[in-house]
Amino acid sequence: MKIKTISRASCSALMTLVLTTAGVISAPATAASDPTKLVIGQLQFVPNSHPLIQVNNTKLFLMGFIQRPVTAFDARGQSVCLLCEKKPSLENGLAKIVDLPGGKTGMQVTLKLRADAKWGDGTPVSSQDIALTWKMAQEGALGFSNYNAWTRATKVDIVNPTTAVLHLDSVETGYDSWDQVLPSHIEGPIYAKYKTAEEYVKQSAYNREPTNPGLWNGAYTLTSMQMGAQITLAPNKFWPTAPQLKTIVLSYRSNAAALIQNLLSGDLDALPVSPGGISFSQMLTLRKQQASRFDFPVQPGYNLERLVFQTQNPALSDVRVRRAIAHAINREAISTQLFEKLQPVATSILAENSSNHSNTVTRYKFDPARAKALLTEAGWKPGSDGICINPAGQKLSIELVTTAGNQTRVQIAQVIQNQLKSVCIDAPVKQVQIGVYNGEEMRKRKFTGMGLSSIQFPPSTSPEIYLATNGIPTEKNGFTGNNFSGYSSPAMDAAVQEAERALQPAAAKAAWAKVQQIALDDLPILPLYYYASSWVVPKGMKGLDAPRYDQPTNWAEYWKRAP
Amino acid sequence: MTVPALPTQGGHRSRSIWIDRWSVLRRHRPAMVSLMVLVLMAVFCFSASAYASWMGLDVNATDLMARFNPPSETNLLGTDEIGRDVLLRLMYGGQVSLTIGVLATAFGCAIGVTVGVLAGYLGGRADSFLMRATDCMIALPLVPLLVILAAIDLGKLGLPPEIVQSPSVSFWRIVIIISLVDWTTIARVVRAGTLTIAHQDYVLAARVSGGRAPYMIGIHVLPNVATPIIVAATLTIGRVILLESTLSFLGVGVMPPTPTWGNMLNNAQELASTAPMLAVYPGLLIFLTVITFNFLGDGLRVAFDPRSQQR
Repeated sequence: MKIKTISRASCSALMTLVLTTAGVISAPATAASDPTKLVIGQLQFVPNSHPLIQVNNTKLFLMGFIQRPVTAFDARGQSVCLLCEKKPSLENGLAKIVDLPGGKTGMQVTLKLRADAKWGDGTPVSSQDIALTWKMAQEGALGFSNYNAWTRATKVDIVNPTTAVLHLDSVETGYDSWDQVLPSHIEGPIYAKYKTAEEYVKQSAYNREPTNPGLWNGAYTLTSMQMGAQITLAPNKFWPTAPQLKTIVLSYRSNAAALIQNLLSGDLDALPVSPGGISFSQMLTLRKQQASRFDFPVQPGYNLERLVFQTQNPALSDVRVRRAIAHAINREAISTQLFEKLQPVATSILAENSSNHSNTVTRYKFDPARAKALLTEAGWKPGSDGICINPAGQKLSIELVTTAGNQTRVQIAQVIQNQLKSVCIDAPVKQVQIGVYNGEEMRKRKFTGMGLSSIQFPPSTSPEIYLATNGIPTEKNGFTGNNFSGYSSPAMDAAVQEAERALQPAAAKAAWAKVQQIALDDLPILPLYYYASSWVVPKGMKGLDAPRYDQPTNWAEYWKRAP
Repeated sequence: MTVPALPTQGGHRSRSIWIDRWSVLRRHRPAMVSLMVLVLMAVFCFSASAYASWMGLDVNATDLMARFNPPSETNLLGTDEIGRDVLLRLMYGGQVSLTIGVLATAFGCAIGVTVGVLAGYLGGRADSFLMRATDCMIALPLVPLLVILAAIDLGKLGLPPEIVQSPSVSFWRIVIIISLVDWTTIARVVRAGTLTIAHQDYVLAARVSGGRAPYMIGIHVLPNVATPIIVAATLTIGRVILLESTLSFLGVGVMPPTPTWGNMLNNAQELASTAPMLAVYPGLLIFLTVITFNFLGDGLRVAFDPRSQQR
């Protein structure tokens, strides 16, 4: 019998088999890593290098190294100065509540910049930079999407080169949080000439010469950018605290498995855990297998994984059905079995390490019997196929949409589907690309049942955008707002307004307690679990503090590897 | 007066060509072994619901307390990352993967045969246009094209929501997009065969006798190009199964919880060190299916080739 040549297709199948069964363990790097250099693996390349356009977690991660915000939140969730000398507050007089015409009240916030804050070309960071950034945001054409909008100010007065006063036309809790500024000595002339978004984005120095040190005011400057592949950072010689690490490289891979393989082979030194890196489950596996080579700092985070309910769905418009779903899902089992309890069950919309978290809110325990009772009360009875039907004969079928490509989320969606089926709810799972999820499904509210994704309630952001009637994205308001469920409640609107105006900590805590209780009573969103903030770092690395509302890269100058 | 009977040729009765081909195929041992393996695989996959009933299992039932269980009496190959029975998912997954392979090949053949026959029979500008279109399709990068097509929002194409949200839509989407891009090999093979047949004397004679194009194509051309079509189709099935696996591997294939060998392989990416067998099982089945179709294709090629020395 002739030996037949295995065809190319068979070779492909064989290669697939071999590659996917290859162990994670690889030969360690043959040469010792340079302790003054850190190569960090990343999944998603930045859309551009502009600090304020197309802002997302990936962009903020990079910006933390090279472009510091005026203020940021530390590990305790407190707003602290990075570029300013003293954080504005009512107590120190740098923030004032003022009366405005028409009986309204507003605020005046004084930002005093640090004298030693300099751009990478030695030019001081100045109040002109604040004024230019505000002007560019205010004129609206560029579509700045940073989280602490400069447009909250209606006017900026320059007092001296390091001091600017921002005028707000309302009282808000986020008055002390301000994001990155742009270098007026570089971007000013460009913006003067190119006003439209299309022209400005093309002509901006951030696009044409991102390695210009004058663009960056952080502990590092960007020295090399290979699109889609790698970004190299070197210390900003004008930053007051000399960074311990002399070179940082952000190295991009197409998937999490590649990140792990490269970590174990020594091509990468560190990995963040989702978002932007490997999954929490992968980190747990590595922790068991590679404890001698790496450290795995895990700290409570602030992100919340949640189910958002489409309140226009006839079934979900009944709060009893939403509460039934809450009782039907075994969140404790998800947290224990999938995350070893390191990502704990979310008891409220605010993380437990948030200063405004309330411990006295309604809890939804796993109770399938209670879930079934609530559904019966709401008029749903099991049909012949085990799925509930109402008196009109309609099935209780509620689609669950989530983001494709996130293995953990897809697993959880399937677990939820199964748990809901046991209480007679049919929940077909739909995965969509993240752009479609954030756009069509959520922002345009086209999802028909439930959505599974994460959100965060930073201290500087009003709960209005997530929970108040004004936060419902509509065509009329240009689809701004993140109240994707379409939830509208006068009691919640009043509680949100109270929380917005509560500038003192005790008043804020009491106001937020009300917001949390109403949110859990009405359940427009069902909190599932809190994300942990986690990394995989070289053994003995110090200074990387994981949990913050803001990126840990804002403090990268303190990172230090073991010699 | 009687008419003398014609003497028989060596005392043999005439045989159907299909019997002839079958006997050659039977003598091709790798092809026969492959055929048996494929039959057994089909039986294995399509007996999934019977197996599920017998064992009291549900292919989509999750059990977080039973993750990564080793093989046992209840779960013969153990459980996966969310406690589902692995063997049952392999069986159901095979149904989907094999069905996609066969259906996408059938639809692709339909497109390829149409393009190839028209190009070869009509000739001239029609041939040039169709073949240039085929060349353009060949030049497109296949996997990125499939990924883009798989990511299209069907709602934006005007399809009603009931169809867009139906559980079978991801299955049919994959079948359709694979068949839309994977017809080119068959088109070229059929065109070459048609060009040869179309210029035969008997075909020209039939045309002169008034035979129209549909008659000529249906009666003279297609039966004579059936051989390369069958062989190419057999080889295509293997490739289509790999394409489906690739799409699922990239996260744009058939949506969970519906299992396919490809999406089981995709899920197993993150579990290579925790539970490597979750990657080995679907990978092995894909490998076995592709290689058996290839051997069967080789055997069919020999059986259908009148010049083959193995006849």
